[in-house]
Formats: sequence, C-alpha cells, structure tokens
Amino acid sequence: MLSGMNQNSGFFSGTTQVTARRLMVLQAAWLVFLFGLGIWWVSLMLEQAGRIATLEQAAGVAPGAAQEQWMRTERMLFWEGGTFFGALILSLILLGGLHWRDSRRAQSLRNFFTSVTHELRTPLASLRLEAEGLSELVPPGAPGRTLIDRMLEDSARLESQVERALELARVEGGGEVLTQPVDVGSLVADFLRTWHPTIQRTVQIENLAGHLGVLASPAGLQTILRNLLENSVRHTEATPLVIRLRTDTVGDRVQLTVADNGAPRTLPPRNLGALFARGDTSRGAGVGLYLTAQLMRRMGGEACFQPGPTGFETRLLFRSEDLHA
Amino acid sequence: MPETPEPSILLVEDDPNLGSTLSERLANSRYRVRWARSLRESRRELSLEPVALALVDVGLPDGSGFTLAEEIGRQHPATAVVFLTARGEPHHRVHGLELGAEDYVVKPFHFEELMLRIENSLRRRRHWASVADPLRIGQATVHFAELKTLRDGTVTPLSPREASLLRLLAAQRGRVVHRDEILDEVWSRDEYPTPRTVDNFIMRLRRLVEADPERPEVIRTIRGVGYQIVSDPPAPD
Repeated sequence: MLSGMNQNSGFFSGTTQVTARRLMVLQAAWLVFLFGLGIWWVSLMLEQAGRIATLEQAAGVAPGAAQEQWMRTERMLFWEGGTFFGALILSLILLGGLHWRDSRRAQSLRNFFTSVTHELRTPLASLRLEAEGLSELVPPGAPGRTLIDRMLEDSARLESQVERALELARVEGGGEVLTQPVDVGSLVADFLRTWHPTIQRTVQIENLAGHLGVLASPAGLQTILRNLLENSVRHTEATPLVIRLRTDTVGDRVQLTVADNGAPRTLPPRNLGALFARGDTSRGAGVGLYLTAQLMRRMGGEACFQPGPTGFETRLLFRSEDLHA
Repeated sequence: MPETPEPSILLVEDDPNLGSTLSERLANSRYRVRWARSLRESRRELSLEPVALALVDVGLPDGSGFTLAEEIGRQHPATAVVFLTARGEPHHRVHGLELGAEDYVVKPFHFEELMLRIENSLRRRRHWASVADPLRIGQATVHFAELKTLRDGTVTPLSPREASLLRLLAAQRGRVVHRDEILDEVWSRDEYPTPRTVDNFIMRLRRLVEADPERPEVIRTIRGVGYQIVSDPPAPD
C-alpha cells in the first residue's frame, strides 16, 4: 500500500541521518530555551514577591504578617516552578523515548527492506540467466518464444523496481553518494548503449549530450537516467516515444535536460518529486522522481521537473568540473 | 596450428540455481569452469590447479569473497578476480576494486555484459603476463606481485591501480600509450575516470621512479596523446 502513505508518515518519512541530527539540535535548543524561560520566570516572581514584601513593610503591615506572606509566596513559587520543571523533564523523557523507539523501528524496517531487496538480486540474476538461456534455444517466431520474451520483460521490470527500492533505502538511510569529476556526455552515451525499456515500446532517443565535465556520482547519475527514461516509457502513450537528452552551460553550472514527447503527467506540478506521490494512474510507486531529486541534492546539484503540453522535461543542474585541469 | 587452450574460470557462488546455470552457460562459451560453493571449496580448488580468472561472490556461507580476493592476489597473482555480487553499494565497489579486482559486476546482470567483462579482464592479464616481475623502471625496482617499489633501500607500497598502470606502460615500453587506452585498461567501465585522474596517478608514479619528477625522463608525457616509458631509461647513478 505504498500509494496510501504520504510524505510525513511511517517508514520513509525523510528521517535520514542528517535530518535526525538536525532534529536533535533543534530539540536541544528547545530544551535550553524552556529551561531558560522557567528560570527567568521563577527569578522574576521571587523578585516581585520580595518587592511586594518590602512595600507591605513600608505600608505598615506587621513584620510577622509580611514575613508569613513572603514565605507563602515563596512556597507557592517553588511548588509551581517544581511542577513546571518536573512536567517539562517528564515530557522530554517521554518524547525522547518515543523518538528513540520510532527511530529504532524505522531503522529495523529499513534494514529488513534492504536485506529483502538485496536477497532478491540473486534469484533475479538466476531467473534472467535462465530466461536468456531459453531464448537462445527457442528461435524468434517459434511456439513458446512469446512467453520467454514476456518472462524476460517481467524480469527486467522486477529488476528495475528492486533497484529503485534498494536505492531509496540506501539514500534515505543516509548512504554515501560519492562524487567525482565525470564527463557527462560519455556517461550518457555509455548508459544509452546498454539501456533497454523494461516494457516493449518503440523508443527513439536523440542524444545531444556534449562532453562537459560535471561533479557527479556515476552510479547515481545512471540511476537518475534509468528512472527518467523508465518514467517516460511508463507514463506516456506517444508512439513513437521520443526522448531527447541535451547539455547546456548555465552560468558556472552544467544542465542536462531529459525531455519526452508524451502527454503530461497527471500529478500536480507541486507534488512532482515528492515521495510516494502518484498521479491518477496506478503505474509506478512514486519513487523515481523523488530519488532523482534526492540524488541530485546529494551530488550538490538540483533537479527541476517541468510538465508541459507537449511532454515532460527534467532539468538536472550539476556543478561543473574541469576534466583536464 | 595448436589450438589456444580454453581459459579456466573458478566460479565462487553459493546459490545453487545461479551457480549451475552460470557454470553451464560459461562452459557453453568456451570456458573451462570449476564451481566452488564456499571459501573452503575455493581454496581447495585453487590449490589443485590455478585458474585464469575467479568469478567471486562476496557473500559466502563461510566468509567474505573480499577475503578470498586478497588471498588470490597474494598467492595467485596471475589470476584475475572479477566480483559478481548482489552488493552494489559504492563503498563495496570501491573496496572490491581497491583489492585489485579487475571488475565488479552487480547482480542481476546481462550474460553478454558479463562475458564482455570477463574477456576484457582476461585480455588485460594476458597482456601483462609479458612484463617481468620484478622490473627495473627508472630509479626503482617494481615488484608487481608484492605491490611495492624498492628505491635506494626504501620500500614504497603501490596501490593495485598504480601497479596496473605501471605494468601497462612497461608492457609497451618505447610505445606511446594513449590516454583512452589507459582508461580502458586500468579502470573499470563503471568508474568513469577522467584524463585528470590518469595525470594524478602519473604524477605519483613519477615521484617513485624518476630522478627528478619535475623533469621526467622515464615516464614521458606526449602532449595531447598519452604517456610513454622510454625504451632506454638513463642508468641509475
């Protein structure tokens, strides 16, 4: 029921290690602020009570009565202050405990999720190898060949989903994204040489990506390209589907644009790139664009999604790097 | 004309289905395949007969494939290691390649791609087999198998990558080796190194073998093309 989860709920609520650290700092700051406020309130009240006692003495109130009044006020302040601080400490302990329990549960779920998807890789490799072996034995057009082709297609779709799930778990778990200078044109060309759509579609690719240096993670960029191309294949009906890749220099940055000629996505633009956000179709899990945005952020760049009347465009903005310096 | 013997591969894979399908398909592709399901079996197989290439899974029932790769590097330096694993995280890849593996393939994979990577790894090893070990290069004696250089009594460790680069240049002594060839031969396809990466490695190698790294006479830069180890380097003092 991935579609039923929103951005702020449950397992992938964005509680990466960095976010958790920020939360801890915020909590500590809030704690210091509340304690400061409490101490200030108690000292202010004590000062006020002292002044009242002095005024009472000056007004001729008997010293014994003034002293008794002062003692009563002081007791009241200590009791109120003590209750306030006690409640504060108790609620903080409770909140801390709940947060710790929640983090542990999220971590165990993440570990479970990672190990399951990880374990799927070996049987998937075996399945593909067996299907490929069968396809070599059964020539195209022979009885049963269609079934083998479908098996290969389904295996590729499964692989793609497993890869996304693993990458999501890794990125959300604060996994490293190692960046290095990369020739974006070479990487795109290499990727396109081996990429095949996971479902049978006629896809025409126009690659105009030039040899520009960017700071990126090769594996991360491959994941992004796979997500964007798979999204185009999955969400557009245009035949033939045309995907254009182009690089431009934008100021001191390099922009890689991936655009298709499909119908616009049904998702409102403000939700594009949000985790588990899906349009009114049942296709996809709402992970691809989120991963793209997260990976770009982790590589020091940014992603911008632009649905338009003639297709969908993603602009990836990278930090540029001199490959020969 | 005598036929070239079929290269032998040790497949280290604990999954029975993948192991048997892969051994069958590799055997159909002209390789002599031996299949080991654990570290213990792998060690036994290697002690019986060395292999040209070991295709190693990382997660094994009795230990890590990384340990096996280290052992192979030490005891069978002529054997190329290619990892074939479900662990595709960047730090695993980096660790595998740092151990001197020729390549790192993540499951699931296309068989054709795997074949290509195996062939490239074997080709590289054949190429390098022609290089003497140890070998005098400039001011230093390079011990490729032990991953070290010896100069004036000082031992400097070499990374597997530095050793590979030095071996590639030495194998073609006197010839200019193009930057692209260096990138293809020394780095894995997934790493996307840039010419700058090669330049940085060359700088470090020059510090090891040149009398004056600022005025290199052993590893020469051929501007716009690549690098060359001169055929007759000046004799050491």
